Amino acid sequence: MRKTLRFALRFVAVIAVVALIQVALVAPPPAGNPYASALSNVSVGSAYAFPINCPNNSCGGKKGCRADHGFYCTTSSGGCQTSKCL
Amino acid sequence: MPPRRAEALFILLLASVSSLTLWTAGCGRPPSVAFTVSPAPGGVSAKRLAVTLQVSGVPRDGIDLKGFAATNVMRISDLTAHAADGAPLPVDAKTETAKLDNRTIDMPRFSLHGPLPASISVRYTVEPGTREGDAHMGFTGRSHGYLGKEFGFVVGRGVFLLPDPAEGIRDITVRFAGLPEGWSALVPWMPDGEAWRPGVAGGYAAEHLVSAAIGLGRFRERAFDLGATRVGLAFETSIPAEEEAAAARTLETAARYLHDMFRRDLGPAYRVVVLPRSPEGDAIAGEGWATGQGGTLAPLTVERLRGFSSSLIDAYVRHAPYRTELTRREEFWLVDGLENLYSWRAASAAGMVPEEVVSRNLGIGYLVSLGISGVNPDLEAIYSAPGSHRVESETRAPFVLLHLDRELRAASGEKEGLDPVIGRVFGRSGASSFWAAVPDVRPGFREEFRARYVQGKEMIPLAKAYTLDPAREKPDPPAGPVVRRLTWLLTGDTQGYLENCGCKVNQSGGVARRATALGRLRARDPGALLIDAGNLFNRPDKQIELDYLTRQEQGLYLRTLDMMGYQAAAIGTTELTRGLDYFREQTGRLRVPFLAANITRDGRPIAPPSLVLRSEGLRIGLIGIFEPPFGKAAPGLFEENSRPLKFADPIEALSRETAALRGRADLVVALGRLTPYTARRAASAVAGLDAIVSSDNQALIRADDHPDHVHHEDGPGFVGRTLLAYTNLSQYGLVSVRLGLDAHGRIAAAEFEDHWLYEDTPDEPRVRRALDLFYDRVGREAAAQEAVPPLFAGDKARLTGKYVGAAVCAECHAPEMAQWRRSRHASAFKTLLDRHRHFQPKCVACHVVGYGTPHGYRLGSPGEALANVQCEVCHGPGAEHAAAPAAGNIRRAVPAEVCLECHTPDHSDHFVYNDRLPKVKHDYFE
Repeated sequence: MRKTLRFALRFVAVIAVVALIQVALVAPPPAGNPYASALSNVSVGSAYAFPINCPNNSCGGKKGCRADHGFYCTTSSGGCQTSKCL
Repeated sequence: MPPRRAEALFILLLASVSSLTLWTAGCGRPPSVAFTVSPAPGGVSAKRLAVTLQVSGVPRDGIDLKGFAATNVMRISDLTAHAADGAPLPVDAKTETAKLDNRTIDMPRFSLHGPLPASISVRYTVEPGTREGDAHMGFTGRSHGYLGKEFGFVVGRGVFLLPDPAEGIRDITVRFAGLPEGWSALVPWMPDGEAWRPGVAGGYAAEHLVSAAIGLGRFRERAFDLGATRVGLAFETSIPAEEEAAAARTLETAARYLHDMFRRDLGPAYRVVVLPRSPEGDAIAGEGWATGQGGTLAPLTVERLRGFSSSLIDAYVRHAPYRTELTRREEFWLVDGLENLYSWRAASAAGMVPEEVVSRNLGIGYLVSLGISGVNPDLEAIYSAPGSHRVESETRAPFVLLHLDRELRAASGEKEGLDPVIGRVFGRSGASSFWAAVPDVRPGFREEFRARYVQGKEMIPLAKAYTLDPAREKPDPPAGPVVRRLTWLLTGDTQGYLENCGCKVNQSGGVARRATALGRLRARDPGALLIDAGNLFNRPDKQIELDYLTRQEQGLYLRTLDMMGYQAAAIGTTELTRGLDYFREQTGRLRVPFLAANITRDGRPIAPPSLVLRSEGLRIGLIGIFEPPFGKAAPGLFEENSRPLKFADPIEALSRETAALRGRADLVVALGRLTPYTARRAASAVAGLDAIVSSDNQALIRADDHPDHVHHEDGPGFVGRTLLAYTNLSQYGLVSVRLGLDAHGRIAAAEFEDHWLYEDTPDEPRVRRALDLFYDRVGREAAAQEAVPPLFAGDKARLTGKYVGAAVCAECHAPEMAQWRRSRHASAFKTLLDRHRHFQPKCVACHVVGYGTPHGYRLGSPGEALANVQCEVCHGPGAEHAAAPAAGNIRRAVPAEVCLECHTPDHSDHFVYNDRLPKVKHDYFE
């Protein structure tokens, strides 16, 4: 019985090591990284036709927005907020 | 065999079998895929490609075919699937939705359910060439791919579906068939007989397929070696030879700069497909990967060169298999920082933009980013936090690197810098820690820089190194006491803005109000001088196409300048953006003179350089001057259309013209576009220049009240003896300056006043009438109406369906109607009547039902049954439902895109969908 148990434990240990090696070999970079595969959804973002023009303005002046490429300004009674166009 | 050895062998055998089982169970055996791509029936003029996909090794249980582009770019139709014997297979068409950067992207997905044969054939058509933007709001001037009789260009992800998961697919081939005579297919893949085989370094077949820049047509090829990498440039043959040669030289210079910096090669080949703009005038967007890129690169502009450089940098730092991969998460930001800094530096190295302009623009971007809410100051954490980090990547990261470079150089006496660090870190395939490669130029430098500026504990001290001193209140040397006064009225950067359009919070601006304000100011100072610093033409990013209505509106705007009595204007960026000929066509009959001292075409000035005007008893010499914009401030269309022009150095031109005017004018004024940096150089270099009036005040300016505080806009004042004035209110107002002159005629004092054109400024009746008559006349013209296509251009049901009007809906839906009547949608048309825009097609389209469709609203009286934002705007044409009411023949659910078709940032800047949705739901009452 002891022999059988030892045999089984050794077998499980070998399988575990083999499985870990496989995972390590094929593991992608950690999630949240700049190395998006061309197949990932992040790369799909480059092939998306924006339906709305970027207004190209940012907060400026006494009350309102001023021209500023790549940004987008919203004004309200609370003030003015500049956001980046997507 | 001893028992122990036998036992060991048995365990090893079991382990091997288990391992093999694990591998096959985990990875499966991926299918093989063979594509054939050909023009769809009708040839390339039909603008569609027919794709046949043969899949072998299909799993019996079923297979999903996935697209790798948004459905509005990968436009698939007529997809069918068959077994090898021709038997049709049912296909379930779906979309897969992903959320990226706060937007939702749908991608095509097709499911074939089992049991399936081992081999199947799938056919479909794709329609390349999605134009970005829409006919209602305007196109951006960018398209995704193009196919026509002239040439074709696609990116693989716009054409190819692949079995999901695609990562493991190794066996992919692509054939092109039926191309027009003389055409070839340019691809970055390996030839395999008559086909092509995507894949690099023994893998990445699927990635290589979807990221490939594919040119179809006639091309001329050039090549150069970048170390062991052969870089091929393929120019579409319609590109003029001179333009090709210039672009080739510049692209090579930029590529060599980057290669020298990274100090290593890429793969054996890198192919660039160089295209002109599409026949519609769009820049064709491509994609870059490890083995190449493509898109509109001719004529080569700064922005296009920067895009080319950016894609090339990505091959070194971002894309497998040739990237140098950073392993520490806290250093991931470097990838974005490098891409965004060195793409500009490569453009500078190629001579297309001065290095100081790059530094300056990055600094301004950094400063503006500090005011944007939600931006993570810690660059080392941006890849750990969810959500978009575009601002951090595109504006903060590159400027932090630029500052690091500056600090390294300063501390080492120019012996160290960022470039060698990049070479050390990225010069081999495995990067060590970036910070380990940064020299410690003084004790603790690395840790201090990293903590302060990378981790964002402190703002980069812009004041110390990147800023200009503010202009002063008084001239230096001081002038004498004021003995006479005069007034100037200044506008600039008004961009053809007639009046406010849309539901914007900012309702200021407009020519009719401006005329009222000018009338009031002239009543106070009858001899006041009225001048404009340029940018009177509308911006192309608002309206890329010069349609009939746009031309008419531009003409009306310019005529109002004569109505308001403008005495001079400078030629600026937007005057030249659509080409000199368009500028002359629009301004030929105007009384207001346009000036430009440093712009020539074919060796001849495009406009008079200067003009002497009388104002309040003095002779004012005006010199038109233009400093061309660079980088993001320069629209692509401007760069292209200004290529036939030569821009002489503005300082030299000002020196020449000032000397010529000095005997004939009491005051000499430069009018036009000079950046605050150049304006200061002009103030010290040009003797006798009394004032500069500029439309561009963007700069990093040290705040007078606090040395560490920095503004990104210059204010008016004196630099030496020269007065600087800016027209920073743009289309929203005008600036008046009351000048005080001393006994010698020098400007001794200047009092500036901003006049914002808010809603409390009434319209001047004459200009108001001109606007109203214009709307009434032009709106009735078929050409104007046709210039504004219907909303929902991609929705066939809305374009062709029959609308019945809300009164018909009310017969069954009384409670919903009662709620709607109390909403602002029910009075949308009155809004137009109140502002006399009921004949302006651009306005009408969003305030009625089905404008521009055969059965929709007709431009006419408000009694029309389809006025206002009625039921069918949200729920679609209702005739079929009204005739036979059923749940299936009307659109009950209204997706956000329907609302956002009209509630765009440009026209409805305070619209937040989630906040506003409850107000239009039929259970909400105000």
